[in-house]
Amino acid sequence: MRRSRSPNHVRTRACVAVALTLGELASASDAAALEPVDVLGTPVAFDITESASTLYNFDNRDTRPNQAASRANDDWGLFYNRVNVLANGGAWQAGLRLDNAWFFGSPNPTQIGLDLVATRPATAGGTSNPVYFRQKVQEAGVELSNRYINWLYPAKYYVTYTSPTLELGLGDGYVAFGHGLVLGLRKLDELASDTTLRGARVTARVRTDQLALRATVVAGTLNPLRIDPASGRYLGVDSSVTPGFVALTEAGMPRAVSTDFVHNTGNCATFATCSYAPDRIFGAQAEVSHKAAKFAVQGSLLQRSTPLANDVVRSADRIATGSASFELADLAGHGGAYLEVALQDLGHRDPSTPKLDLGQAVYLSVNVLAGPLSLLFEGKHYRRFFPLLANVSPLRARELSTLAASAPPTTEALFIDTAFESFNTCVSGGRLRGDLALSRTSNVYAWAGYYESFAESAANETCRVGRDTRNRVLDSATGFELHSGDHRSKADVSVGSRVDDSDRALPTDNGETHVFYREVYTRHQGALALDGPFGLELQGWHRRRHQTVGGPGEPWSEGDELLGFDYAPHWSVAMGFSYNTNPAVSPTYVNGQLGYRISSDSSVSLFVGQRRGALRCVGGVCRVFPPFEGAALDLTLRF
Amino acid sequence: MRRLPHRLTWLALASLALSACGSNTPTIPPELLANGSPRGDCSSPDYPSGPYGTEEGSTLANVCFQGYRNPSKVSHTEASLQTIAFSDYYDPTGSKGVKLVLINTAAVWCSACRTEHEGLSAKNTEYAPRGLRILSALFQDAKSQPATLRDLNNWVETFDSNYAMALDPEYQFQGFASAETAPLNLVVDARTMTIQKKLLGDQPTVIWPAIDASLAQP
Repeated sequence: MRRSRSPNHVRTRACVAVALTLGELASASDAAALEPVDVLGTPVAFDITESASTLYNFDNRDTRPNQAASRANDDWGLFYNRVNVLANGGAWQAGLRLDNAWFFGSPNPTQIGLDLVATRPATAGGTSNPVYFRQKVQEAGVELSNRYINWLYPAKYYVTYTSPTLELGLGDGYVAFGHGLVLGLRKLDELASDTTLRGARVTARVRTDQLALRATVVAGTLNPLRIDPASGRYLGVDSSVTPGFVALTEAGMPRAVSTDFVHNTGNCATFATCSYAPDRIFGAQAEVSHKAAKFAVQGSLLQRSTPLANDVVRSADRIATGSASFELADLAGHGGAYLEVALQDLGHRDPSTPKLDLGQAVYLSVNVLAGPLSLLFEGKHYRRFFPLLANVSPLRARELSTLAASAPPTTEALFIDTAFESFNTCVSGGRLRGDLALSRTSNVYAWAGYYESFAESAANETCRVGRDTRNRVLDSATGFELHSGDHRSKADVSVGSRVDDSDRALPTDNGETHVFYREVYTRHQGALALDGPFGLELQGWHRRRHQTVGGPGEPWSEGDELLGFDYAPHWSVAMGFSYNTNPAVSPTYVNGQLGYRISSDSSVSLFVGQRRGALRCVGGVCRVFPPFEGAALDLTLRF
Repeated sequence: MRRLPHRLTWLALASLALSACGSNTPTIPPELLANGSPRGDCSSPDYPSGPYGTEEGSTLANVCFQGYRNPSKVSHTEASLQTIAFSDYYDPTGSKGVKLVLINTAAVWCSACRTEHEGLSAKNTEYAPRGLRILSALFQDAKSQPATLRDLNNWVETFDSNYAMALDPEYQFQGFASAETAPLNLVVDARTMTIQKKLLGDQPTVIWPAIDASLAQP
């Protein structure tokens, strides 16, 4: 169902997009290295990276009758600029990333109301059209009140001092304590996510002949990227959630705004564009290592201001997590092992929220190398162990509601996106992967994982273990890898499956079943070097899925295929095709991509076409990306 | 320096394109500006007056649906559908025996909604004598299209629903939460129709203790 648009509306957006594209191209190809500058006798090297994206999203074909939100993601355009400046002078380093989003086109709530009236299905006993229209304009207005708003803000800044015995940092920094059970703040380019701790950190190191000691202390506030270029949504704070020190770390960051549809209540909990309340995080780690053995203890304390959601994690005022880990990096030349044991305590100020028992987590990883065979076992046992979900309102910024300050290991393949609901918070199981090198250029691999989750088909924050809550999951795959002697050509092909059954009978429209989820899939990725500077690339993922509880109610297929052609060293062109037989979404998606590498660090690329919406996961960290239909021009220049 | 003329050309073209950009204001047809009134059978003069809101602490605007007040006691046909309004639960004096209302949204595609409804009839049996009423509104089918009577009938038969279950094909809760974040749960004080608690997702650990605490108050 396509929206009717006024000719002016389309022309306005199209011409601004053309202007920005031309402007972006004007700045291309002038990348050149910057000479070091003498500052107080110290040569300071500057590294500047400029990334600019201009995109326009037309009707992305996810329109649903009566839903303002499904029309609020059509017809918008963005110029998104990121400037990274890094200064490096001996032991000192300073950096600044400045983000600027300018929306040169955005939907109009009145137009959305008109479109919804025009396409309104006949409903017996419905409201009159004028009432319906006013209701939909109001809904669209609220939905748009924290989307497509222009911002210029200091996304990241930091100063660090590094010496062999001491590291000091002020500003933004990444933190990883343990294997993500206690604290895990990192950048995930695949998910357009970059979360840091804005505050201070100190690391001290002491070395003796036998031992190396390291201690780290961090304190600050959680600082995710505030603008989501995939949806145009931003995270806004207000003064009610930025008291004291937080006002300093939030200086210059995007704020909640009042609009014609949303008024400022002075309280982030009820201010409909206030979608983020920065959490204060304190952490410490002490680590002692002797040769290949390393022992560490680490802890984090997350303190919230006003909770912006009522779920058991986001409504916690205080979450304390601690762990002890032991690592053997070398098992006499035959691999390594890692063990981490963690505890977690959630504290709620609201007396009606019951006190949960202490959360527990055990994670084990063992890697064994034996000639051509390598084995990797990863196991986990989690009880009431939750990721440290950031205080993002899922009502007001649903696209960013999975932001978290930790990511307990899933032990599953990185791409797995079928651990439903709160699967990983109350689960036991593990996965064994084996790789066998058949020759210098070929190897085969396979894995099998078995998990029992008690929080997938049942809401179970207390982690009640029993047959009424248990799902048993078998995840397996096998494949092979081939590559040419010079490694310029390679292929990786695999097939896999997931069988997920519930112990209790699940009610469905077709009667009761124990089948919760089924999937078979194939993945492939290959590169073929042709004569001269030419090369071909092919990658795809094709799935047959069946979700009995929820979903479309019947099995469906979905997949992506991308065929690329390289003309080294500068040009690349690719064609993509995706499909989805789930009747709730559009069936086919076609796109084309053209890339030009100016240098090893600078490039420009153009995407034109459609991209299907999907849940994308990397190691258990997932984000829902809406469908896209339009054009995007990306430019990266490094000076 | 050799590149400067190229850059100027691009910038000149960009300026030209920007200068051609116009503006856009939709025109509202006069018939949509009329004082259309809600359905006559939904009006309730005694219902609390506004201002209404969608956040905790604000008063819930009156809305009505077509549905079954108690699906376990009627045949599942169009003839059995009744108009169900929030005002039906408004009980300022306690004369109806209603203290709290749990208002819930559901969609056929939504797995958390289905999980939640697995246990809702038992909760209704347990809490109704204490003054809780449950009203759930089914808004979409498995294909994310507006729910139909057939979907409603399938739903109440699948889950043996013994609480009020209504159709909401126009998704009148959009102002409270986007459809894709279903289920939405609102705990509403029947004496004032103010929203006490607003939750997304199936959150039994949070919602039922909160209802317990609220019902325990005089």
